[in-house]
Parts: sequence; structure tokens; C-alpha cells
Amino acid sequence: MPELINANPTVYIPSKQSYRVTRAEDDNEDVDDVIDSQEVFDLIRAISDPEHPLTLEQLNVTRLEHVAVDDKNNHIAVEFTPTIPHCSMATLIGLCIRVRLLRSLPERFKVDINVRKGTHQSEQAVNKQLNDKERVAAALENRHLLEVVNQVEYCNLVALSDD
Amino acid sequence: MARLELIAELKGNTLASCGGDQTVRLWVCSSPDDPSQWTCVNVLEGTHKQTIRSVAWSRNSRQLATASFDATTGIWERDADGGDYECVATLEGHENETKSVAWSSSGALVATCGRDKSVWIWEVVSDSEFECLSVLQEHTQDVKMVVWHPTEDLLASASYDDTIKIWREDDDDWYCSDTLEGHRSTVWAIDFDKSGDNLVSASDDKTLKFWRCYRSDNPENVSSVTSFSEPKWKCVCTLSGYHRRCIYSVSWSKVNDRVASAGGDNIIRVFERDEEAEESVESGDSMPIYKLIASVDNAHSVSDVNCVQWSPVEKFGALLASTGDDGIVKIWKFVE
Repeated sequence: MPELINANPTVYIPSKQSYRVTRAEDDNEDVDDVIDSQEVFDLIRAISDPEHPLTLEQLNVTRLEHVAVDDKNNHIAVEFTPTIPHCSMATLIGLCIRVRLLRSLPERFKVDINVRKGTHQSEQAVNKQLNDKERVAAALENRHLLEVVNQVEYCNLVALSDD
Repeated sequence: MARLELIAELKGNTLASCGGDQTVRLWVCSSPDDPSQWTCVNVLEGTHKQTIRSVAWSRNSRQLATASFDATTGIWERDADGGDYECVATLEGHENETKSVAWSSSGALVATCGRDKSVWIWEVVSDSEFECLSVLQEHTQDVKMVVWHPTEDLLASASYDDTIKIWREDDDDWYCSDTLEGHRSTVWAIDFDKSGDNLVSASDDKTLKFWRCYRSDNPENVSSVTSFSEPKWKCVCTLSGYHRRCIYSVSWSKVNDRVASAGGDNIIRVFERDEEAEESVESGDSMPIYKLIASVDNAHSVSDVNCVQWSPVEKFGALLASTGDDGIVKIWKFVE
């Protein structure tokens, strides 16, 4: 097995906050489906880390308070915190978050994904790549990379069913 | 205020353009007098294995070039009986995604660029034979787009390294004659005006910049870079505040000098020179001033607008084509 980038990460206890509670108006077709930060966080909290059998939430990579949703203006901003400042997995983690949101959210949303300020030594380079849609599109046509991204999503399904 | 009027929607793909479905669709105007009716007459498919990112007609419109994420560039030509298009040549050499392709004005050269940070210059030896003349590797990041000067063998390239480079030939040797710095993020698109003395660029920094070429004998005395005879490009105008997200495309009409831009904020904007304002400015350096003359919000509904392109045909100079993430091509008419 190849050497791990961060062999011994700190593991956090997932927030007690339950997954989004279904509201009465959710089934009402006449009401616009408003997306809030809890719903977006629920989509990404359980993505598994590419390196450990742990979720991004357990590693404190994603946090509810770092998800900002402006439903009216169709804008979502997600910040994530790599476990270590030289984490070479940061771009992959960001890509997994982007793919998850791309596949789950209504098309009307513009999504910005950034490393939280000051938490990665190549912060700017990582951010630029994650928000270049041509790079993201090309990455998703790369079979190897797509397999890794899908695996992360797949692990996540398994993790959920183990609960 | 002038406006853009939607006169046609082409579903599927484009006029002669391309998409993630690995095909190119060719659309023709059904009636020469009614630009609102278009029919898809050809689908070019089966050659590229990944997204086709860019498509370009040769100057005589006999051939079509396609740049694909599969690292190759295809050259297409109509078969002898004037029916289907077939791929007559494949330009190979880029290490990975090819992002843009362009034919020179003489038709003798083709330029390609890609994620491998290089720009390739190809010589058209015959209809189906292309020879690589030069591989230019001075950009430090992906090269997003290449555009030829409208009349000369001079090439401009835009890059993820935030710069634009101007390439010239000296005795079969291609070299970088100028690097245009000023944008604070990726330069996604560039276009020359009709004269070729002016260039406009669109960037992820949400600005458009206008650059002007100063020859060494210029009255403003802008010093030249490499040698005395080398022209120097200088930013003469920056438009900011007109786009809220990344600007993906810009097109400078060769017919009426108007500039259209579009981007991730779903908006198409049209600008033109504000001669009145220019006259009222007391200065001898004649800096251009541009004003917004038309806008379309949500031009492709909730989708990013990826490309805008003015018709190069005199008669249809008021027509603008746009493409979006919604997979639709729209034809707009500029109405005074």
C-alpha cells in the first residue's frame, strides 16, 4: 500500500444535527423548492475521504457553517478544510464535492468551491482549478479519475447503509 | 437602448459548432432572406472520442477543423459529390486536451493549443496533409484559445497563466513577440478587430480588456520589448462591472465593430465605441471609451453562456450566435 499523505488524521464526532427534516411543503408542487445550507451540507457531509474509510464530516473537512446558500440568487459557496496544509488530495476532494453537487442540485445553481482561507499551501492553485469548468469537464472525461470519483461516491452509499 | 432580439433557437448543437456529445452539427439558413429559419444539414461524428471543444471554418469554407479533448484535431471536408463530410486528416501531437483551433487568413496555416501548455503551428501541405512547423511552449499553464490576425500571419493565444501572447514568424522561426499582462485570472477568449491593430480579451477576473498595437514609430513612444522594430501591445481600456461571473467568450464584429461578451452569469452584453465621450476627454492619447448598448439576461435560461460569435457576413452583420450549457444554439439580431 502506498504511503498515506496524512497517515494519522484527527477524527471528529459528526455533529448531532440530524439530516434535514422533511417539511410539509416539500411535497407541495406549487411551492418553489428552496434549497438551504443544511440540504447542501447533507449532500456532501458523507462523501468519503479518498484516503481513509471516514467521511469528510468526520475529518472536519466539510462543516455546515462553511456552506453558504443564496437560494434567491441561485448561488452556493462551499469551503472545505484539507486535513493538512500540504494535502495533495485537496483537488480530488474538491472535485468530489463539485461532482456530488453537479449531480444532485437543480441546474439553476452556480457553485463556487474553495479551500478555506489559509488552510492549504497551494490554496490559489487548487481553487483556480476547481472553479475552471473546462478543467472539471475534461477531468470527468478521464476514465481513471472518474472511477476514483465514483468510488468515493460509492463508498459513501455503503457507509450510509451501514448506519 | 438597442436590444438583441431572439430570432432562432437551434436545438441539439450548432451552426458549425460542437459539444460534449462528440459531434459537430452544421446548420444552414433555410431562406437567404429569413435568418430565423435554420435546418440541421449535417452531423459530423464518429471521429472524436471525447468532447469537441472548438470548431473553425477554413477561410474558403471548404474545410472545417475540430479540436477535441481526445488530444487530436480533425480536418473535415465534403466528399466529392457534395454530400457528407468526412474526416480527411487528424492532427496528432498534443499530450492531452486540445482546446482551440484556428486557420490563418491566408489559409496556409493552422494553429492549435491545449492543456499541455503548448501552441502548435501547422502548415497546410495539401487538403489532407498537415505538417507541424513549430511547437511553442512559453505559456506556463493551459492555453485556452488561439486566434489569427485577420490579414497577417500573426497569432494570439490566451492562457490559464493569465496572459496573452503574440506570436510572429521570422524566417520560418516562430517566436513570442509580446506578452500581454494585466488580467488577474485565466484569459478565456480573445478576438481581433477588423484591422488587426486591436485585440479584446475576456477573463475569469470578470473584465474585458482592449489592447492596441503600437509600432516602433508610434507617436506615443511606447517602448518596444525585444527589438526596435517589434510592435508592442498596450492595454487601452478595461471594462469591469458588466459581468458578475467568469467571462467565457468575446466576439468583435468585423462588419460593424461591435463587441459582444458572455459568461457564467448567463448574460450577453454588446458594447460599442462611445465617440461622444472620447471627444469630451481632453487628452492627446486618444484612449478608446466603450459603452454598453444592449444586454440579454438569462440568454440561455439558467445556463452559462459559453460562446458568442458575430456573423462575418456583411449582409448578416447584425446577427449574433450564442451557445450555452443548455445545449442550445441561439441566433440573435441586433436591433437599433
